[in-house]
Amino acid sequence: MTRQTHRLNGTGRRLDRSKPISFTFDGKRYGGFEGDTLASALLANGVRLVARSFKYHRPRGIFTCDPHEPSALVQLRSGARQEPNIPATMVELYDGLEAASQNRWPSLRYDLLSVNQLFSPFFAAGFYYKTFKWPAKFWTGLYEPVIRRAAGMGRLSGSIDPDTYEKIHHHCDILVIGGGAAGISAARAAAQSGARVTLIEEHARLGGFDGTGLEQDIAELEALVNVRIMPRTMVFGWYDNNTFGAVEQVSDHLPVPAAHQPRQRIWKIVAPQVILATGAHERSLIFGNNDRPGVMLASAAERYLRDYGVRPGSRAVIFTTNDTTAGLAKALGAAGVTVAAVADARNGDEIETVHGRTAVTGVTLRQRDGSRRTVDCDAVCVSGGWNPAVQLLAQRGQKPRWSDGLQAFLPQEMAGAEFLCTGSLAGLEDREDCQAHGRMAGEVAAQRFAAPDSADLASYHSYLEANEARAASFAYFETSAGKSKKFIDLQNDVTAGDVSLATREGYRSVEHVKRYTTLGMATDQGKTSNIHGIAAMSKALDKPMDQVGTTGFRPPYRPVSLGALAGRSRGKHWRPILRTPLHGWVEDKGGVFIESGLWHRSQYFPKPGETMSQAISREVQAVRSAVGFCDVSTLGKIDLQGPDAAAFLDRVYSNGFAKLPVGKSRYGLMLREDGIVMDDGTVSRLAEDHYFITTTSAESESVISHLEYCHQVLWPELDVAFADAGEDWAGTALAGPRAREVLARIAPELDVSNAALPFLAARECTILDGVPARLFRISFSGELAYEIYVPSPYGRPLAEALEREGADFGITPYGVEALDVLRIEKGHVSSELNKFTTAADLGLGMMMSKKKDFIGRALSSRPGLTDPDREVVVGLKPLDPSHSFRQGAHITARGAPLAPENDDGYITSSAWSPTLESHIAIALVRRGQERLGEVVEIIDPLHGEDPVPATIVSHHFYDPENARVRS
Amino acid sequence: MRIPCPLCGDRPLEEFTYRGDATLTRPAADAPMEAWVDYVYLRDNPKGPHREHWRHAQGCGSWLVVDRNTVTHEITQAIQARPGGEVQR
Ligand SMILES: [Zn+2]
Repeated sequence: MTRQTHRLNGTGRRLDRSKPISFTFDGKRYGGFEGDTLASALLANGVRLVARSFKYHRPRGIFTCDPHEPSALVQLRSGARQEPNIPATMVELYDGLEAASQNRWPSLRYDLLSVNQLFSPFFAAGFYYKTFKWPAKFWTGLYEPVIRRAAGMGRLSGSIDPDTYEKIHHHCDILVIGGGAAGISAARAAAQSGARVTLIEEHARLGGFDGTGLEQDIAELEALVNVRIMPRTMVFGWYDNNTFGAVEQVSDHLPVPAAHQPRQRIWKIVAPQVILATGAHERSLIFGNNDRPGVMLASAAERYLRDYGVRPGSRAVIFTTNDTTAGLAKALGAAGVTVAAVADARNGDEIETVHGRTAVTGVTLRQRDGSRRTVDCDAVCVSGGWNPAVQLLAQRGQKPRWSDGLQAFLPQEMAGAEFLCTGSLAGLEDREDCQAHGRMAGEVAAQRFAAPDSADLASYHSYLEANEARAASFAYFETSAGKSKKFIDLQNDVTAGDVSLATREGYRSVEHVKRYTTLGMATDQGKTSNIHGIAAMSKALDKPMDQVGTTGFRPPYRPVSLGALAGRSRGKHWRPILRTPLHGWVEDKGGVFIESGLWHRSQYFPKPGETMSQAISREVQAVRSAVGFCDVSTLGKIDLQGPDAAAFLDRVYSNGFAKLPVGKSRYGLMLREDGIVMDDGTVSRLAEDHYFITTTSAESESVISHLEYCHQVLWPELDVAFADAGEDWAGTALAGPRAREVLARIAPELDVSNAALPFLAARECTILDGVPARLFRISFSGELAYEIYVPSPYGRPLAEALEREGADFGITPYGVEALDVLRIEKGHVSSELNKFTTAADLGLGMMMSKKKDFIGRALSSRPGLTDPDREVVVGLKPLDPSHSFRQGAHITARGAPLAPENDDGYITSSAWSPTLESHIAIALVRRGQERLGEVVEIIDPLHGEDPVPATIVSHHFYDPENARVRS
Repeated sequence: MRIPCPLCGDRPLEEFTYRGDATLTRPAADAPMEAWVDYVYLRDNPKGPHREHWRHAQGCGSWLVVDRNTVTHEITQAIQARPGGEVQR
């Protein structure tokens, strides 16, 4: 373990020196203390070089003490918990922590890709756009792999994240964002009213930039029962109705999360009033080689000294534009660090360039008179002033306002009906101002919460106005001379030269320059650098800062891990699963399930040694020759009642229902108002004013919504009521020539004869010793068939009874595959209802009533929907029965060249028909019904298959006379 | 965004489905084709106040008429679409 060469005795208020910690960086072991961050511990050990930059692979060090650190991004942990691109400044040190540098090969010190620097003209602004336009094949073959390798940041483990993430809602009366001096005062004042206050702080502790002397205030705040303090929590988005998204880093400071704790937690917070005390970010200055390891924000150097007992070097140079560095000079002196020079831009002094490559060795100073001198040093502390953290306000559409006095972009509005701004966000600089105004903000928020519009904001506003009027910040951004690279955006390697090049090339809008140069587009979102891009544009275009303006800001304020956003919605929980009441029975029978929407439906029931297609054919043959049954519980079911029920059905279905007798079922077709078919199903009249409707499984939700619209909005005068009964009933289809015999056994009290229970009969009855049932003689398979519905809890007993009572007749359970083969053989449309087809296209033109108005009637007569050239439903049979074709394959006339204009349609359903011993298909074919008997080509170039000749036939392959369903 | 359902109170956007312009009237059965085309296809896309249909799909199932500002998402009124449902909570 190396010695902590840069650790001081005496300072370091965050440290617990009784608890030493050991960690590794790039495999080398170092020591630190509890309370350290990875950044402070690396600095304490004299580690300067911690990263390579994104584009040029330049050596980089630790630049800030903040979450928006642009340079020191590291890879954390190993194995499945490996996590890339984490700012070392945000990593709380724990014993055994493993960190590694990124974006270097083979090692941080000897990074071969740093040759990119030699090609830097090649990487100038817009290089992606200029270089990689053409030839196209170079992109996938050459450019992309090389760029990916060169510009890669850290790496993911590729393994499943073993940790959990969760989401939680939170409601409070007043939300305070930011736990610095202003936020603490605001929260205390707001809480005095008794309101429920929540205070959110990004860091592990309250106190902000300098928590010294706030200990008592913090302790008092923590003691209040109506205040909730949420440290390690970052508000990443501000949404409508004062809703906030925040992410809490519950366990990131631990080696592994504690038992039953998530790694991170997403908070959705709703608060009628919010106080923004988000503070300010110190900005850098633009001078030659301002990215070298050892160049650091002045406030960061001060915090490392004071909070972590770390000195930035032995000889420091300070480069500043303001008074906030005064304390740093003193602190450096007290720590035994020589302040070799202070270049104060207000005096005309500046740093022209930094010397050293992997660490600072000195600077060239340029003085007011133009003379230069070189000063040896190993640290450069720089302050270009402060940028109020306006990002959340900007997310709400506020354009920040440039203040000449404060030389910063401030909130356009310091208060709105639901928000207040205070602290350095509002342009305040002194702690006393922040505390005094924070109190005002807290009081105003409490008054407003108690009674909206009651608060007087006069002194709240005048305090801020007076502060801004007093301000006389010095306008200075960039050193005036020097030839070395001057970086604006450290994370994306954007230089002052890039911005000036972009303006020379004609870019005028800050949004365009941002995209062209990638300025501010890295994960730090340019918090230390954007302002310098705007300043450089302002200079180049000779436009004032406020006319250049800022770019828009969108959530998130800082990166949020995808794991946190996914929360619990992963693996089998990524979406809900719908199971039918027969699910367990199907499982017990060894049935295979297929996902269909959210449903898990029984697909087929293989016997030992059977392939899927063998099982399907056996199930089909059983239905055709004996009897089978199938779970149809997924169908949508609607119970419709009321004196106007018949009138209502007449309006929502294209065919008529007024004359449907009680005790009968009818196939129904529902259109959209544009004339396209929406859904089909059956309607059964159980009583004069009582109907039972089924819809397709896929459309049940949308049909309910549609019917509700029709009833509530279009025709509220109709006296009907309906309920979604989808989950109330389990359904099975019992089909096959011997279905009647099975039904007789499970419904012994019912007369099941063809005369008493004919095709399309509908009955309410009892089966199985008193189970209430709804029985419909409906057939999808083309055989004698019944749909039997029982209350959901009886679904399984019904399946068991059918299996038991049907055994003598060879009953066979079948799944949706056999169901589909049966209906294709029969020529029932299903997947043909694809939101492009009309009733006529589907061969159902006779279901368009001419006697009444109904949804979709008017527009279904449009020329486009009645064009005789339209594709209509037909059947297809290959000349060679063993030739198969897929759904989606296209149809052309024989001998027609492969061209879009020769496309005559496509296959919508296809199957091997064990009944016909041939592959068959249903297709939508142009003028298809006029072309029965024509031999066409089935082409499937997508799958690289040879054309298959096939004959156009009627899609009613099986029993076209409909004799079997009536038998 | 939250919508004040007159039956259920303030509920989050996720519970609602959107339909669109609530000021349209379904043409009479014998209306000319142009009226139907307008009704089904033509929509204004206003910047500002908009009266629109929403359904509280994951709640009470009500179709609502919601007055929403398309810029600010401010909702000034939400009532049930069916007559007699105008009572605002
Ligand atoms: Zn509701």
